[in-house]
Parts: sequence; C-alpha cells; structure tokens
Amino acid sequence: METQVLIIGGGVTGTAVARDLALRGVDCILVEKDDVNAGASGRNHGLLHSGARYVAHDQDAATECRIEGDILKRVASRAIQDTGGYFVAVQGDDEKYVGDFPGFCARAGITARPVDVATARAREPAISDKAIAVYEVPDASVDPFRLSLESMAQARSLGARLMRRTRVVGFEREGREIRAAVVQDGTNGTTQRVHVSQVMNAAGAWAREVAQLAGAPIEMLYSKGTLLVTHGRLARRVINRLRPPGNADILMPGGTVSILGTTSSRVEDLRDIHPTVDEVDLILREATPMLPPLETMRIIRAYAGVRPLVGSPSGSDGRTVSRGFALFDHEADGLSNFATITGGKLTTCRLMAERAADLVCRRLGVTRPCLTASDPIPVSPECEWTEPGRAPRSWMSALHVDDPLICECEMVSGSVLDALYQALRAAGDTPTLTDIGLRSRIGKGACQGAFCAVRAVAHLYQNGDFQGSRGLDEIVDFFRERWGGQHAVLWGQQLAQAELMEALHCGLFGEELR
Amino acid sequence: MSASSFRIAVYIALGLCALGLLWRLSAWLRVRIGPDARAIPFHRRLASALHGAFSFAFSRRLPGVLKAFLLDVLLQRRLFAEAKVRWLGHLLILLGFTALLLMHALAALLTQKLFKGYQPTLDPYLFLRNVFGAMAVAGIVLVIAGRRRAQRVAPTAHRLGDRVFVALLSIVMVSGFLLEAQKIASPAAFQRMVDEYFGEDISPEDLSALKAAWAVDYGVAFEDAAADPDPALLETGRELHKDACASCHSLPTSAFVSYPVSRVMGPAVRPLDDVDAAKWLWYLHVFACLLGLAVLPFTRLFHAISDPVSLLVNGAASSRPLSDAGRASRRALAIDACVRCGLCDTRCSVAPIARFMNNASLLPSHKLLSTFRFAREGRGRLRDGARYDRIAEGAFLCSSCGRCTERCPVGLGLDDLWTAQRDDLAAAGHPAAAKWVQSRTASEWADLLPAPPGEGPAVAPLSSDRRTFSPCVQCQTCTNVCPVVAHTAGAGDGVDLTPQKVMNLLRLGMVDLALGSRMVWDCATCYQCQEHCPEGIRVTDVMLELRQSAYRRLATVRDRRRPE
Amino acid sequence: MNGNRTRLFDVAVIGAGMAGMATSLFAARRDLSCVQVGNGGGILFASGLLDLLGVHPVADRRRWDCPFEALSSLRRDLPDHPLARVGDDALRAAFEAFVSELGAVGLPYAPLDGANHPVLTSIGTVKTTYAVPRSMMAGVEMMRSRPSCLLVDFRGLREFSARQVVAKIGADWPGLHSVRVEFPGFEAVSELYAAHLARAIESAATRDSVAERVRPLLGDATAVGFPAVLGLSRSGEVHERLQQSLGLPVFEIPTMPTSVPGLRLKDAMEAALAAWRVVRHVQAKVTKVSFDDDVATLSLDDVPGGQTIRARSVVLATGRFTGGGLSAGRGHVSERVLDLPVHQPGTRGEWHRRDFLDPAGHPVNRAGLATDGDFRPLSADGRPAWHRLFATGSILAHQDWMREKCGSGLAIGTAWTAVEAISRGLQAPRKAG
Repeated sequence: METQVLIIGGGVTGTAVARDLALRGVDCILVEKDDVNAGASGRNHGLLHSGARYVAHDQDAATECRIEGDILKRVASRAIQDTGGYFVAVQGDDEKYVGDFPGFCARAGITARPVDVATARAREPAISDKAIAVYEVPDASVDPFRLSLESMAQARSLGARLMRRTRVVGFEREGREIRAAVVQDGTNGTTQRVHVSQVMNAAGAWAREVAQLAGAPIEMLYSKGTLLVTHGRLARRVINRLRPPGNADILMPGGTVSILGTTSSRVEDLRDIHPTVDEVDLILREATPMLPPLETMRIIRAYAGVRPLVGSPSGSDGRTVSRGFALFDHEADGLSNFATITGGKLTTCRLMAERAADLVCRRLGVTRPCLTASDPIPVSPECEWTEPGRAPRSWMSALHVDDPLICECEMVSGSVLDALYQALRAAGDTPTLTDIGLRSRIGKGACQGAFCAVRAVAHLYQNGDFQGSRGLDEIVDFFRERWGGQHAVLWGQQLAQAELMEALHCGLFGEELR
Repeated sequence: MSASSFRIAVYIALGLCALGLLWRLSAWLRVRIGPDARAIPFHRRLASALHGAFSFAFSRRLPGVLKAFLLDVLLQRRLFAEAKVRWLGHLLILLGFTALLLMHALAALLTQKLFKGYQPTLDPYLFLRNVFGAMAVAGIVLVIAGRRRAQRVAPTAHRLGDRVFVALLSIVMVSGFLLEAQKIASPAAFQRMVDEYFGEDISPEDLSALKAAWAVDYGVAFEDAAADPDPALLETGRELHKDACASCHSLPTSAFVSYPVSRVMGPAVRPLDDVDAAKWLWYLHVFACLLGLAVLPFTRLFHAISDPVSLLVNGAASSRPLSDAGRASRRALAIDACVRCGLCDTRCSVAPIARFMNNASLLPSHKLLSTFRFAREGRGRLRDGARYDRIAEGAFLCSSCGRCTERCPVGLGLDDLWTAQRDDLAAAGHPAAAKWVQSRTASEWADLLPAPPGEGPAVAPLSSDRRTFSPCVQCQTCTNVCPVVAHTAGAGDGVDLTPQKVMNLLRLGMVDLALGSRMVWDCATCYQCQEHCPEGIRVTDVMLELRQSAYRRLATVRDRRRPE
Repeated sequence: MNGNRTRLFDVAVIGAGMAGMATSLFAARRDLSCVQVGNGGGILFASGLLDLLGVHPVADRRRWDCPFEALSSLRRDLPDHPLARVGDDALRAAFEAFVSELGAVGLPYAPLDGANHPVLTSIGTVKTTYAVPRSMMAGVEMMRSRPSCLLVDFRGLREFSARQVVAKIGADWPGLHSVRVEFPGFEAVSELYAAHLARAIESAATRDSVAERVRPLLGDATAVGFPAVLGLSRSGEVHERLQQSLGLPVFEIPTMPTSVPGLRLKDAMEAALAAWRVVRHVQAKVTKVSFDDDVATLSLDDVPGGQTIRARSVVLATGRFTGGGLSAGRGHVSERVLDLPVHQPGTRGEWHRRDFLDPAGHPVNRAGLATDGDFRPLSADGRPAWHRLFATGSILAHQDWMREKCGSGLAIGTAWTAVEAISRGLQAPRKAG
C-alpha cells in the first residue's frame, strides 16, 4: 500500500486531520488499532467548552476554546446541541473565585451573564437550594462520535482511507526519513507495509508509544478521568461547578441521559483503564452538594478515559499540567517526515488538526489553505444514529410494518441496524455488534445490552450476516465492553438490572459455560 | 284555621303535587339525551312505554318484579352492600316517615277508622309517634353523616331540590316535636282541655287537685304550682285524673323525645303560651308538610317515585335488548332516579384525577347533572366557554371502567348515559379526544402539541418523576399481559407503542411522542400491566396521567374542533 | 378479607416468586393455614425448566448428568450452601410434590428420573436442567439422538431466530433445519409478544393454520421445535393437538423472559394455591413485622390505612435484588423487610468481578441471609432472629443459583425443609428459654 500521509489514531484529532488533508487534496490513510473514538475521544464529557472553565488559570486556553467553539458550532452543527451552560457556586465554595469569575470571563471575551438563583433553579430544578451564585455561559454539548464519524465520512468521500483494527507495529526508516510503516490487522494478525511520504502520529494517549516505535521520545503524562451516565437527563444545560477545577465539576446533558464527571488521577499504564468503585463514589460525593437529586439517581454506567498531557509534572493529579496541545515535528530527533500531535481538548480538535495539517502540507510542498473552519461537514446518513433520541423519533415517524425495535431502551430498530451493518460492510469491513454499538445507541440504555444484544444477534443471524457461533461470541464481547462500564455502578436499581441480565445470560443461557 | 280552609290548603297542595308529578313523569318521555334519542318523537316513546307495560302485564316476569320490589325497593339491598350506615339511615327515614304519614298525618283517614279508641295522646300511639319521629331524625343524621364521609373522598353533586327537601323534612320533624313538647307542658292547653271536658262542672278544689297531679305527672308548668304538693291533694287529683283524663292521656314519659324537650323548655313554656306558640308551631308543621307535598315532584322526595319505578323497570326488564325509544326513556328516567348519594363518586376510578385537576365534572354524580343540563339547555348555551370545556374534559377523561354502573344503589345504567353524553358532545362539534388523536400519528401530535407553560410535577406528578419509571428493567411483562396490544395485534393493526415503550419514552425525556399515541388513548385501564409489573411500576396510572396531559394540550390547540 | 384481620395463620409467607410459591404450597399441603403476601412478578422470569443442581464447582464449569452426584460433591466443598443442608430424600420428595401439584392444575412435567437433561435454548446454547415441562421433553430426546429435526420461528418474535440456533449447533447436528413462518393473524404487525401468540394459538383455527403453514416445510423432519408460545392455560391441549395435526413430536424451546412458560408457571401456582386455600394478598407489601412470644404481626399496605395479618410463623421468600428481598446501597447490602444482617463481601469493590462471564461468579451473588440448619435467619448475635422466622430461596447466602443452575432446587428444597421445621415447631410445645 502507498499513501502520501499516514495518520495514526482514529480519535477526534486523527479524523479531523484526515478531513483537513482530504479537503486540501492530500491522499491519506488513517490506521486505528481499535475503532473510531475508541480511546479518550469517546470517553469524555462531550463538552464544547465556552472557555469559562479555564479563565482563572489559562486565559489563552479559554480564548482558544471560545473561538474554536464558535467555529465548530458553525461547521459541525449536527454534532452539537447549543444547550448553554451554568456555572453554579454553592455554600462553602471559594467566594473569592466566585467574585473574580465574571472579570476573568470578560477578559477572555466570554459572555458570562449572572442569573439569579431562583430563576436558575426554576429552569434547572436539579440545582441545589444551597446555590449562592449562577452565571450563564455559552457552553454546548458535542457528540464526539458523530463529529469523528462525520469528519471521517467526509474525508473518505474525498479519497481518504480508514483502516480500523489495524495497529502500527514498526517503521522502516532510512536516515532521517520513514519510508514505510508496518501495520498489523488485529482480526487475523497479518501484517503489511504502507509506503508513506509523511506520518502524522495522532494516537492520543498512545502517542508516546508510537513515537518510540519511530525512535522519537516524547515526555507525556497520563491523567485518567472517570465519568458517570445517569438513567435519565437531569438538566437541560451544562451545569459546571463555579470553583477552581476539581473533581466531578460538570454535569453534561447527553441527549437522553446526563453525564457527570470527572476525576483526574495519574496513571502509568494505558492498558486496562476502567472506572473504579472509589472514583464513582468520589464523583457522587463531590457533585451531590451542587446537584442533590444525584443522591438517589439511578446510575447506569461509568467509563474512564485517559487524557494525554504533554509537559512535565508539577502536581500529583495532572490537572495543573497544561491542557493545551502539542505539535512535535521531531526534527531534533532526527526525523524529517514524522510528527506528533497530542494533548489538547475535544473543543480544540479542529485547530489541532489544522496545525498538524499545516506542518504536513509544508513538508509536502502543498500550498492549499485549510478549509475546515469555513466548509461545514456534509451530512452522512450513516452517522446520525449516535444521536440520542434520533432513533425513536425516526421510528415513530415512519412506523414501518416490518421494522421491529431491536434495542427497546433507546428505541433502535432493525432498519437502523441494517443500515449501519451495510454501511460498514460497503467500506469493506466485517462489522461486529460492538462496532454497531459505537455507531448507534444500541446497548446504551438501562438494560446495557442484556435484551437488545440477543435481539440484535437474532436479527443478524436471520439476515444471514452471522454464521456458526459468531453471534454468541459477539454477545460475549459486547457484554465485556458494556460490563467494563457497569461493574463500578452496581447498586440499587442498576444492580437489580444486572442481576436480571445474569439470570438470563448465565442462569438460562449458560453463556459463561461456553 | 277552620277545617274548611285547612281542607282547601290540602287540596291546593295535592293539586300542585299532581301537576308537578305529571310534568316530571312526562319528562321520562320528553327529555332527550344522546343524538339517537333526539331522533325519536314523543309519541314513539309513549308507545314504547305502553307497549313495554302491556307486554309485561302478559309476561311471566312478575316474580322478577316482586323480587325487585322486595329486595331492591323495600330492603334496598344494593345500598346495603355499598354503605351500611347510609342504608340504615335510609331505612330509618323510610320507615319512620312512612309510619308517621300513615298513622299521624292520615290519622283521620286511616288510624281512626282502623283502631277504635285512637287518641294521639294515648299509648301506644303517643309512644309510636315518638319512635317514628326519632327514627326519621336519626335517619336524617345518619344519612347526612354518611354523605359527609363520602364527600371527603369526592364532592358529590347536589341540586336545590335536595336541600329544600332536607330542610322541609327537618322543619316538619323539629316543629312536630316542639309542638308536642309545648302542648305537654302548656297550662293553656291544660285549661283548654279542662274547659272542653268539664265545662263548668269542676270544683276549684278538684281543679287544683287535678292541676297538682298534672304538674307532677305531666310536668305542666303552672304558674302557681307548689314545688312539694300536699300528698292528699295529689292523691285526689290522681283519682280524678283516672276517672276523667286517663282514657285519653297516657303518661307523657311515653313521649320519650317530646317530654324531655318539654322539661328542657321548662320556664319558657308560659311565655310561649302567651304568644300562642302551639298554634304557630302547628301552622309551621302543617305548612311545611303541605309545602313539601306541593313541591314534592321537584324535591329529592321525588325519588320515592322514580327509584322504585327505575328498580322495578330493571326487575321487569326482559332479556331482549332495549328498543331505541326504550333506551331513550330509560336515560331520562335515570336522571330523575339519581339521588346523588355519591357512592359512584367514591368508587370512580378517575376520582383522584378529578380532585387533582380540580374538575368535579369528571365525577359521575356531576356528569349526570351536566348530561341533563346539556340535554335541557341545548347545545348552544354550552358550546363555548370554560364550563363547556370542563364538562367535555369530564366526559372524555372517563376511563369507562363501569364501576359507577356496577355500584349504583338504584341500578342506573350510567355507562349508557356517559356514552350518550359523549355522543352529544361529539355532535355539538367536540368529538372524543381519542377520535381526534387517531386523526394523526403520535409523531405528528408531538409536533402539534407543545408543552404549555407550567407543565411539570404540578400537573403530571407521576410521569415527570423519574422515580416512577426508573425501576423498569425492560422485561416487557406489561406488554405481554396487555389485552389492548394483544387484541390490536391480533386484529392485524397494532398499537403504535406498547406500554413498556411508553415507559421508555418517559425515561428518554420524550414524553411528547407518547401523548398522541394510540396506546395511551386505547388503554383500557384494566390494570393488568400494573398488577403484573415485577418492579411495582404504576404503568396504568401513568397511562391515565398521560391521557390527561394530552387532553390539556389538545384543548390548547385552537383548531381542535376540526379533526381532519 | 376482613376476617383475615382476626384470623391467626400458621404460616405467613412473604414473597410470591418461586420460593414463596413453593413454601406456601408445601405448608398448605401439610394442613397448615397459610397466607401469602407479594405480587407474582418474580416467577414471571422463570423459564419453566426446574433446575436442581447443574454446575459445580462453578469455577471449573463442571456440568453434571446426575444432580445428586453434584450434590454430594457440593456438600463436601460448600457445607454452608443451602442445598447442602437439604437431604437427597427431601429434595426428591419436594420435587415430586411440586411437579405433581403442577400436573394437577394442568401444567404437566415429564416424569422425574433422577437425572439432569440437556435442553436447547432459544439462542442455541444447551442448558442443563432437572425437571422438564412435558411440552419441552421431545426436544431433550432430539438433543440426545440428533435425528432430522425442524425448528420453526415466527417473524416478529424478535428474541428467537431458528436460523441462529441451527447456525450455532448445526455443525454437530446435521439434520437440524430452520424455517420462519408468519404467525396467523399477526401478519400486519412487526413485533410479536410471546404471551399474545400463546393466547391466540389456543383457538383451534389459529392452531390449524399454524400447522398448515408448517406442514409443507417438514421435509424429512422427525420432530418439530417451536418457540415456547404453545398456549397458556391450555398448553397441554395445544401441544397435543399440534402433534396430532403435524403427525410428529413437537417440542417447545425456552425463550427470554418474560416468557410464556413463566406466565404458565405463575398461573399454575396461583391455581394450586387457590386449590389449597392459601389466602393471598397480591397487591400488598409488608411494611412492618413485629414479633411477640408466639405470634408475628405483619403490617400490609394494600388498603388505605393498611391492615395487619397475624401468624404463628413467618417465611421470608422475598428473593434478591430483582425480587426486592435484598437492596444494595453504595456501601452495603441490606435485607428489606426486617433489616436482618446480610452476609456479604467487605466492600462494593469486591461485589463483582471485572469480567461479566468470569466462571468463578460474582461474590455478591453469594451474599444473603445466613441461617441455621432449619433455614432460620440469624441475627447479629448468631442466634435465630425469631424462633419461627424462616427464609427460603435465593435470599439465602452461600449460593450462586445463576451459575450453579440450582434456582428452582434452592427454592423448592429450602421451602420443603423450612416447612418441615415449621410443622415440627408448631406441633411441639415451645421449649422454655
């Protein structure tokens, strides 16, 4: 295989780079060892920062967020819900910080409008009656899956190629130049060489590993963040805690659910990242003073991602390390066609891609300008099913005679399943249940897959898509993925739900005995 | 008052009563409830009624009627099953009042002719009158108490005639007892009797002896009565009493109500004598009786006629279905036969909603009146305005559970009335909301019915509280036991949402999509889902609440009277 | 129901799942007057198959052909396991009694032969179970001999694809084929629900129509498998007639809950309890239980203002988390009705393993009530909480019925033993102290 640019990593940055390069007419292949947004890009709040969170300690980052947020609202409007956000301080919070907040926001050009507590509570009843100050800011929610999937779809429509489940295992280097990358197919283990002119390492937390393969050391820290998903939506707006950034400061509206987080703790090992019971309890303990209904709210899931932080450590949790991004050209490491883009935030992913693509194009001698800030991302029908509430609305408006629901919780029907399966198939993939789960809401509701996985597999077998034991193997994989987010939140009603799932899949079906 | 003027007053009262009865009875053939009834002229209903009576006379259904008369009319078994206290009260009033009517009011016609030596002041008549009076008064108290208790559950409708009847009955009873008490203790009455009996043939000694005896034994409040009379004098007086008075006057202690009242009145008796109180109390007593008689057809007492008729018609009913004319007349009869006892209200499955929505028009007793008013006042006067909306809300939020009909102590076919009312409303340009709802899909409704301001926990406490549905484990038991889903699916035309999908939409915060769904509007409120739910979710209650929310929103859509 | 307020029952059973039903039934059969409180939700999740003991030790995934051999191994390894405290004879007697009661109310089971049986499930796995409904028994025979066999599914019954089952085990069963047919009368709907089909197929016309649709597709099949929708109250008749009109053995394949066999079991148990004059409070929850020397008083919430029941013994058969017998906060597991001490792992972090299907099972599943040998739950001081308070079924500690495939055995066996103890205790005068 051969391409001008090999992009490593299919997160929000890698897909944005692919889109950027494709728009400039540069041929590229994106290799992703797992699936789109499988790492931190898919394991965050989905918050499009107004920048207000950073005003106190990083005015540049705040301003950057404001500008990039506005651009994304324009070009990626379908992935973004302009929910608005509140910053809420409660009794006991640092009053000096509260007092300084509007001034800081003004300096960064961020509109922060004071809202009286009673009005705020009328609009968002989840806010505590112990609230002492509320400011309204232009925060928004972004669906990172839709953003990445649509970016990638646009890039592919312009000739870019995506290789999922493909891992870079080595580079072939000649002097200062990398001539080819050796990639390995994760499904069958076969390797092949991809001849390249340029390599862009956008592997997120894994960027250090990839750079090491190329012989270029990077100093990076890993900060793990855990988030919780509630059984229903607790608030319409983004609710931030008005205090210096700390644990469990943000409650995001995630369509039909709310997402609460995060924590921040240093980790060394990127394998086996999972939310722990202590983190879950910490989040609830920290967030409940601002949002008392959380005390009794059913939590259906937790997940954890790893933030790649670039720079040297000065604190134990990594929160004090810059959340800004870093672009390494690796010239000093003796490499002329390898670069690394990492760090940063979801909100600034487009800007990161622009800088990365600028570097690549400069090296390639391509002079076409970046178009990602001006050209809206076109619609890709197969990318719309990550949006919560999209499937029920579509199903209800059509009510086809032969379109049964597969996932009852999120109301995803057989036709959606088929459309996603066919789209992946058309791209030459062998779609799995987990792939479909990532591109839709299947398994994301209360039952966490216990019922819908059975229906989905039956549906795919019936279509002839699955043969042999494959469907049952996929149920197991799917559960493994879902369980990773479940086991730390199993109390109350969610434990009853999990028990029913086990009664069904172990008690009746005996899947653990296979 | 002379005997002749009294007689004239009685005749006038009787005449008025007869005219009123004629008017009220004719209403059973005149009043038209429901569009089907409106198409049937008076003469056809008359013919149908006559035909019914005629065919009954030559049928073998007499035992059924006798049984109905005994069990339903006399023994009131339906009321007994529903409300023991009120049954007892009703029975006491019925027995006490009837007995007083026959023995006391119609004494000249009946008692005197049947029982030689009848004297109102003689036992057992004196005693029995008190017994019957006390029964009636106790009955009134029990019925009012029972009603009060029911009112706490649901406010029952009432009409002016109900209150008039209770007021007149109370006046008759109280004035009767007061009159008797006054007469017992009145020196004037004593003097009148002495004058009538002895004329001039009594010596002052004997008179004072007799007075002494009556003061002690009858409690007559003589001005000059000694507190401790001479025993010899008393003995003489008693002897004299035995000879002259005892044949007509039993001891007053038999009047176990009036006598204690007279003792309480004590010192007030003489001043009352001075103003001739006995006469005025008599006038009041008789006037209230005659007034009651005159307006009887327009008071609650009319149920003494309409209820037995209704129950007997039920008892006489053949197994054949009613003709249209017969049904129309039965509806009109039902309006009159309702005593607004309110038992239906306490059993009504939407009663909690009525309280919550502050709309009594949902309750059967109120609906019955609004049905009648709608029929009487015509459609024009009710067509617009808030009152109309409230009545329509009541009509269409009815869950048709049939409990009102099942529990009605006078066996009224209320469910048929409600159907007729809904048809009337529909004919007046306000079709059933369910019909409206089916004119569009749930999805279209979701766009058409924006949430009005203020909607939330205050008006939809269940569906807006996540604790209602958060225990759902997606097991689909509710759908599996749902007869509506089963029936419509089997009929080749499934409902759009199953119960468990409705619960899911609540969780998803997409309640709008459920409001116009056929599931919500077709729900039979059989409670199978709720009773089977392993997690105890109030599925049916949520359905009902959603229907109300949808109804409210429908009412805000301006073109709601023009379904396409 | 007013009479219940003053009546003194011998046994009050709290819970109407499998254990509550079995306990009430066994008590009534011993002529003990019995009252049961709780809605029948839990039993709806049953599959109709009555397990005794299928797997032990779970970590080794060892399946047993004979449950009684498994039991003797279990008694050696896990002496605290509730089933280890029920004798083989008691288990045999309990199952015989249970199954014969079900047969008496129209839900026949295949004769018990002391062995476990392999049953094909709706996703294509094979389950090991003990008592098999008669309507599923032909499937067990087919599983063993694997002749030519046809599996039928209905379009719209989303949880079951016959093609999936064939894909899954067809390699080891070459004669297995699948067909999909439309369920008569339901052609126009996209989602079918098992219970609705089960009711519909009780009509002869629908049943004949199903047979007509399947007959041309039979090929050389020697038996026909259907999803378990062959009738509710008249399942025996539906099964019989379908066999007649197809001329072949017919068997049902157990499906996901809420399943028709679960509904049948619920209806049958209700009928059996009614026949034995068990008084039931279906829409009630026990809000409080107070004990004096010899009588327990249960407060119920089914009528406004509540009402009470008095009983000489009480059985907790309230199940686990789904059933509502146990509830888990973020910190610990508690027992819901009486707040009895719950044997449990130290912290929530230890409740579950990282892999859902870890063969060792999740430690929280072995949490529950610790009891003495008569299944009397122990209070904090290690003595019975009340001398005639018992616990049966899945609320008991030291078992993992989902992994060990012993759910029904646990319910039926512990119910039998507890009722024996109750019966003994009520006959003998209470010992002083």
